[in-house]
Amino acid sequence: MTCDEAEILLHALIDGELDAGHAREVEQHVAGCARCAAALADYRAMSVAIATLMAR
Amino acid sequence: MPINSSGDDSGKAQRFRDAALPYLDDAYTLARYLLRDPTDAEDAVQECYLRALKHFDSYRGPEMKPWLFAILRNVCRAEFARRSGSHTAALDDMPDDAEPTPLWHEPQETPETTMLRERDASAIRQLVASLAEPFRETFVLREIHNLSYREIADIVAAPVGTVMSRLARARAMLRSAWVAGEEQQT
Repeated sequence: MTCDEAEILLHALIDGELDAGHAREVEQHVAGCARCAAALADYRAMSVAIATLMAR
Repeated sequence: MPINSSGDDSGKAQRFRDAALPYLDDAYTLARYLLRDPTDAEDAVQECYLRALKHFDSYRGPEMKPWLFAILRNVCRAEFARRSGSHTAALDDMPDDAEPTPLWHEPQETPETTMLRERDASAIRQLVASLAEPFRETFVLREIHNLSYREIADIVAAPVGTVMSRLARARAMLRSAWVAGEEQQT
């Protein structure tokens, strides 16, 4: 999987929109790619922050 | 198109209330994000519910929330069109039967931790508000309303692939702004 593909699919991973096979592919890419791993971590932190904000 | 043409109006109204009223707060939240104005948001939600009631006979499901949101979206688009003309201030009346869930609380609590969180809230609100409309819309439907890609695609009348790329763009833009904001603070 390329970074370009992962860039879109990261979001589907976060949102639980991927089946197990595709989720594994994205996770494998992220495990070997510092740039996409950093993006995933940031997106997850943002989602948590927004969810927390909304829950107040 | 007469609203009172069917014989079971009270039954219809009751069914409509049961089906649609649980989403009133959600509809307000979405309108607030799309229009960025509390009074306009209330007006839009009211218009949305009037239209939804009018077309309730043609509602075939499956889900009420995406159906309502699709109507609300059209109302908000009309409001955008109106705004490009002139903006008249409406009466600032709030519904008295229910306190709408405010998106962004005004700072009322005193501890410093709360102040920090308020600053975060305000920062996030500004970031989201700064997104261009199609990206903001998709982002809010996903992040605030937790709708599936399929449901969002139905509401915005676009393919799922478009929803995915808009969401990716929206989050990427927010991330850049977010990271820049954090660097400014340190």
